[in-house]
Amino acid sequence: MQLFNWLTAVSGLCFFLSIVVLIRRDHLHIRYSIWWLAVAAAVGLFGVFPSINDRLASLLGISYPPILPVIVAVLLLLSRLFLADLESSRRSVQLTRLVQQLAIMERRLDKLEKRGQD
Amino acid sequence: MTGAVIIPAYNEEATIAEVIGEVRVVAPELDIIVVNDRSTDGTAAVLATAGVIQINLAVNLGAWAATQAGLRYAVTHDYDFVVTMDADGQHLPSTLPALISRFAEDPEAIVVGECVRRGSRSRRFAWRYFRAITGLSVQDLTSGLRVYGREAIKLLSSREATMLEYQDVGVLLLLRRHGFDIHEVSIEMQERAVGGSHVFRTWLSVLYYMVYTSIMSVAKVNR
Repeated sequence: MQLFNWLTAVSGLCFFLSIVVLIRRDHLHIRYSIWWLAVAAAVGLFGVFPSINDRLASLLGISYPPILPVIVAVLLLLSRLFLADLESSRRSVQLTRLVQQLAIMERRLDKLEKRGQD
Repeated sequence: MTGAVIIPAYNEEATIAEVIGEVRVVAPELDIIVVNDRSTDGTAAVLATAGVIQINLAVNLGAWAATQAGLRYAVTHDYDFVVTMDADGQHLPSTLPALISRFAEDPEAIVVGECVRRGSRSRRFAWRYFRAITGLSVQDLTSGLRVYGREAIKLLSSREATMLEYQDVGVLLLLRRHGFDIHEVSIEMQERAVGGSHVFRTWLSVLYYMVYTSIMSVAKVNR
């Protein structure tokens, strides 16, 4: 293994461990950790065995193997970003409706309290 | 018929008291619901002594979502109709009787207070453009002075309506899609006395509005 392989393998491992730590400290939902654990595992795997990439590329008919992980990464990132926007649209509607409902409840509570005082 | 006026207010301390006072004189039978969209000026203080139904949003949501809070309040309180109007004095309370009597003729439909004369050349162009791509026959697409009946209030309280960012074209399209007729009554409007439009503060916000409404019109037409 060359130095560069070690570098990728170690960074994959560090990534993996930080995610586990973040889950343990309740900073990251397990729901979102699945994706990041998979990414960390892939980084580590391709770091240790770069030949997997070359074989995969030749299987797919790609003449320049190093471009394969780049293409895959870009596609995955784009889809991830898109899903995040969908999620944030849903959240913003939820937040708006909650704020509206809270304000209405507050108004009703005020009225009830005033009635109670009279 | 029981009715209410819904006024969304964001930093309107200069005009809101006068608007409320005039509504009381013109239409004393109507409840007045003011939705304070987290104003940072003295609007809340003015409202506290105004004796209106005050709904205070904890987060600034924008004019349409604030209006919707009022509509959702109206659903729980069983009003037969509501009138939505601006707090900045642009909509004249003196026009309420004409709008409400038009509504009473056909309570299934909604009524829009129309004043296309107020439009600048670019605004007229925008109206014509949006009429063309949506097929809406309403002249004054951006007027927020409207009367909604029971069914319309229910529809506009829905989650689907929360997805909208502005009260104008999107709301009209939603109403049309659910089979509501839209009548217009020609009325006077006042030039804004204080401050400019909240929606069109910069050229970028105008551009955003145009792109937003174009996409929505194309995506949602006749669905």
